[in-house]
Amino acid sequence: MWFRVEPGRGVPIYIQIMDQIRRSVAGGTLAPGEQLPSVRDLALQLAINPNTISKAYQELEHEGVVYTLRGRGTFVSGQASALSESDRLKRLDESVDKLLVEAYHLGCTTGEVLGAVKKRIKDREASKEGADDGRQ
Amino acid sequence: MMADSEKAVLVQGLTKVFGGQEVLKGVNLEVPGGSVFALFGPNGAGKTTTLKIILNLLQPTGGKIEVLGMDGVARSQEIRSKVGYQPETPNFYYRARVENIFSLCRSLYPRWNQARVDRYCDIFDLPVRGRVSDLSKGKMTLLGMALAVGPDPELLLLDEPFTGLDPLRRRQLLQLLVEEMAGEGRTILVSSHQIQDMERIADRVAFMVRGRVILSRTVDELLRDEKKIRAAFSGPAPEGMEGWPGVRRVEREGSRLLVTVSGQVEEVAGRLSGYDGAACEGIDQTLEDIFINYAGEGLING
Repeated sequence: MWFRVEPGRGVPIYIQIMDQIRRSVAGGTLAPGEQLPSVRDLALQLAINPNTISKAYQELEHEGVVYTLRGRGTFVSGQASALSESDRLKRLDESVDKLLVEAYHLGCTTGEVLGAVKKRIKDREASKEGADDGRQ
Repeated sequence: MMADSEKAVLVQGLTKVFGGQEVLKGVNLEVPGGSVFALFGPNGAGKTTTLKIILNLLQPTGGKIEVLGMDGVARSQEIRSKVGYQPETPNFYYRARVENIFSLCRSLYPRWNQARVDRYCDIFDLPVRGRVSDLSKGKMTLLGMALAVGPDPELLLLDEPFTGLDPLRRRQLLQLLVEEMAGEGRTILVSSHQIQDMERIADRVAFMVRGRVILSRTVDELLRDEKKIRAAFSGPAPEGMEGWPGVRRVEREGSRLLVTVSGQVEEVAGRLSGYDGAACEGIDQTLEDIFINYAGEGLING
């Protein structure tokens, strides 16, 4: 499995990898139960420190995105976040802030922003149901 | 293998005087066992001299050196048998063939592992029967690397290992270094100008400037703690911010402030937002930005 690693972005590499795994899980390209590459294999492939991969996996496990079976590997959990409510809301605020910067420059009204968010949620749910039907 | 908590290299108050000039002015370094440690610094900062003293290729003027738990001067012979060293400018016999250098090394090192060296030569496409004098600059660097892993070392000292390498060779070398640390938990101490390549593999970095180590932290700590904050105010801007805890530097951009913060980022941002009509934004810094912040006196300011 390949992830984009950008040194020199000012963002720790373990966070860059966590973000991509989170996005793939949320978007459905990584399915619950799927196994992630071993620390060693991924470190070699991406040419980064194995400790960095371990840290990304550990943090994702702490968040409940993945789980680890000793001696077997790391798997996508497909469950809701294990983060505390305050951590979850803080993370959500940060993402909303990014959205609001874009909305400000596009001159969007509050109604347009809320409408777009609701529409995207519906689209995602529909496409996930479609994918689930396809798997059955 | 040594435990993580042990220091593979410990340097305290190291000084070195060359022809009346003090090139090392009290260097302190702690390299944890099993870590990858990057030494950054401008040319002439003393990186190569420090590495040579760690291997006792140069005598220290003062200070203490311990390598793999052994005294760096008294037990230098034993240390050398357990350390792989890639010099910045390899001092090969230029008329020799590459394979002749291998036989020489085999006779010098009791634990010489030719199979490993062969594998590196294979990956790097090194002409084993060719003459050293025919090697390109990049191939010379790679030969130095292949020789450094030959003794199956517990500690690798690499001085500018990316010199003359194209992107493909750089990536191969990075992968081999990942292999070295993943497999047997070797300690790797690298001096390099390639900050982005080192960001991929380094656990810790130290900045060396004019004969001193001015900062030594983990990469993650640096990226987390070293930030800039840009702040604008509708009322008067705060005065005397230089004295605030965590503030390293305050620059004026017209009526705005650009504040360089080290640690306590949230505290400084919180304090700023208490001012009249304050608008603040946090800005991430890259390792290179941070290095230049700490090392970059004498830069041209626009």
